[in-house]
Amino acid sequence: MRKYSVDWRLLGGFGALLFFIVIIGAIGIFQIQSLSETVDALGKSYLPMQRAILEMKTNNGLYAMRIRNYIFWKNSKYLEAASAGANLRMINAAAEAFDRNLAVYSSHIQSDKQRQWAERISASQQELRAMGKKIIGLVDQLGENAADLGRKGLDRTINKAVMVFENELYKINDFIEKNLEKDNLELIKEQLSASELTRNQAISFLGISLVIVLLIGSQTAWFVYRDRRRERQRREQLVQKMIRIEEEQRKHLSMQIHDQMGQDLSGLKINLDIINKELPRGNEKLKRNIHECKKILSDLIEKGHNISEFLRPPALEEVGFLDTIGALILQQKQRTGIKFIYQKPKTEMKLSGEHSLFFYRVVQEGLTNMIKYSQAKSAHVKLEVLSNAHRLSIQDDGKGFDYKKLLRERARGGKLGLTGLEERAELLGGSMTIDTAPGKGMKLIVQLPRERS
Amino acid sequence: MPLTVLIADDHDIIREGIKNILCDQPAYKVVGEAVDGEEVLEKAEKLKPNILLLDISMPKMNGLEAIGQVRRRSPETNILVITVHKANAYIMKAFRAGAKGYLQKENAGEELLPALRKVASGAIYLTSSISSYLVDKALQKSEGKVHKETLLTPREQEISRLVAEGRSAKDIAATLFISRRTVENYKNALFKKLGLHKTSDLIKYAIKHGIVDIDEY
Repeated sequence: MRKYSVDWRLLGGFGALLFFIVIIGAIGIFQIQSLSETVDALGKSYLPMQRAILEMKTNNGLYAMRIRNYIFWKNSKYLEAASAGANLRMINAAAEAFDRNLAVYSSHIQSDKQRQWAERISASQQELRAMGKKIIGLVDQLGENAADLGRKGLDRTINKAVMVFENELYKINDFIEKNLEKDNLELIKEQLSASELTRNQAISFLGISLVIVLLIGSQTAWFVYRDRRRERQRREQLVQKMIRIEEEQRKHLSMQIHDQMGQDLSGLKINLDIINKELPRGNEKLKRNIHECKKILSDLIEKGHNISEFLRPPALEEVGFLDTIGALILQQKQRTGIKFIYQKPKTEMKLSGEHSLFFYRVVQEGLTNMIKYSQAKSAHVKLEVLSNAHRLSIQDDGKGFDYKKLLRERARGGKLGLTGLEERAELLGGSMTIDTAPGKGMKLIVQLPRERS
Repeated sequence: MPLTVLIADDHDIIREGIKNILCDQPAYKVVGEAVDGEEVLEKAEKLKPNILLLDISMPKMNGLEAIGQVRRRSPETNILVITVHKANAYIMKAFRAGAKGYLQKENAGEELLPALRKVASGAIYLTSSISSYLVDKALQKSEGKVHKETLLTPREQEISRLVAEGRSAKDIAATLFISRRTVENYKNALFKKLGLHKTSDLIKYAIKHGIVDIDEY
């Protein structure tokens, strides 16, 4: 018995493969997660913050512009009545928009620095609004006292307040730009370069892993393939060896039976005849007994013949393969009257014991089938030596048959001699094909590999 | 003058039995015994017996192979095969090789003397349990099968044989380990030499001159 052994190389290959796949998977997941976190941060906080910052600057600008508009509108007699209210609403809208964006910025704050900035902007903005309100108040006062003497003094006051207001606004926007925006843009840049790094790492890591896994995988696959191939070869050799052993035993038994038993039994029969002749007259009872013994001996000899024919016809060796096949054909010719053509190589074919017996069985079985079913009138048996095979073909002009149907029927019950031979041909490393159809005759071809001498 | 008999069999019990049958027959005289194929050849050549009783299954050289050689070394010897075999192949081969009689061993007690008489007279003897059909066929063939001389060299014969067997030039090239071109050259030379034009003519020639072995039964 062959001990079941563990193939450590195979096991190692599979283990390493599994290990690498798990590690790569884990690292891959980790990298994807960190990449998505970076993108998340960009999308969810840094970009909205950036937008809020820009909006704050814009709205501050709008706020200032609208206050200046308001002053202009109030000074112009023709426009005032229609648009003063609308102008006030727009000033408020700009202020509210600024506050909303500041709130957006504040909601994304991540550091103390940013919180302090937001508080500071909030405080400055309140001062700015107070200034705005004061300017609006002054302008409204101016409107009520049109053509007033005090108007010049009021004008000056307004101008001064606007200058202070604008200065303050400029400072706020400058602060936003220099601190908040700069800081945020830096953060965005950082995130972008971090994500690029992660991405590059992930790509190179996955690339290298892929190569390693491919190498280990192909190595392991090669081991598997090689093992299977070896196993198959071993099995084939085993089958060949078994066939050879079986053949040798058949040959040996057949020889024993016809050469030992057959000879001895014949000798016995000859001696009985001699005794019979030597017996004086009047021993009728004894003579009858001798006759009985001879009959039994003949039976035994006949049985021996049949057994050795079944095991391995001794003629295959003693007469030769080609002549034995020829005699087989002639015997069928004598029995049936079918016209045969037997075509064979000029010199004896060099066949192993297994192969010659197999060809013999195919001819035997093929001719028996032909005679039973085909109603053939003539047949051609051909033996050939090809460059790498020996080929036997049997062809008849009979009625043919549906081979596939026959196979199906026989598969359900019983065994078809021909299919058994087909399997045997494969075991011997050859092939057997039957080409037939109803009304088309039959052609059977068996090919066995030539053995290297 | 009794007829001289050489007994060839590797089984003592058989040789003894035969001697026992012949010992009171004045017409025959056992002049020698052989126990294997080679001894048969030696003794047949030396003793030149009238009759050789020849077993088939023997060590060193089997009886069937010995027949032809004995006939060459001692052409006057008539051979009576005596064997346990009764398969057609043996019978046909024995007669084709030139045996005069075929006797099954188990029948020897009853048939040896009639068989010897027949064979000694130059007639054919076949053991009672077997039909003569095969012998007729075998003798027919061995007579008809005198190969005519052919003009061809062994290589040319081989190639014409393969052509006649229906093999392609490619296949012939592979079998003989030569190039396909060489095969074609040979074929053309053959056509020229034999004054033939078609492959089918070559096949006919090959069959007629026994280059290809086709038996019709």
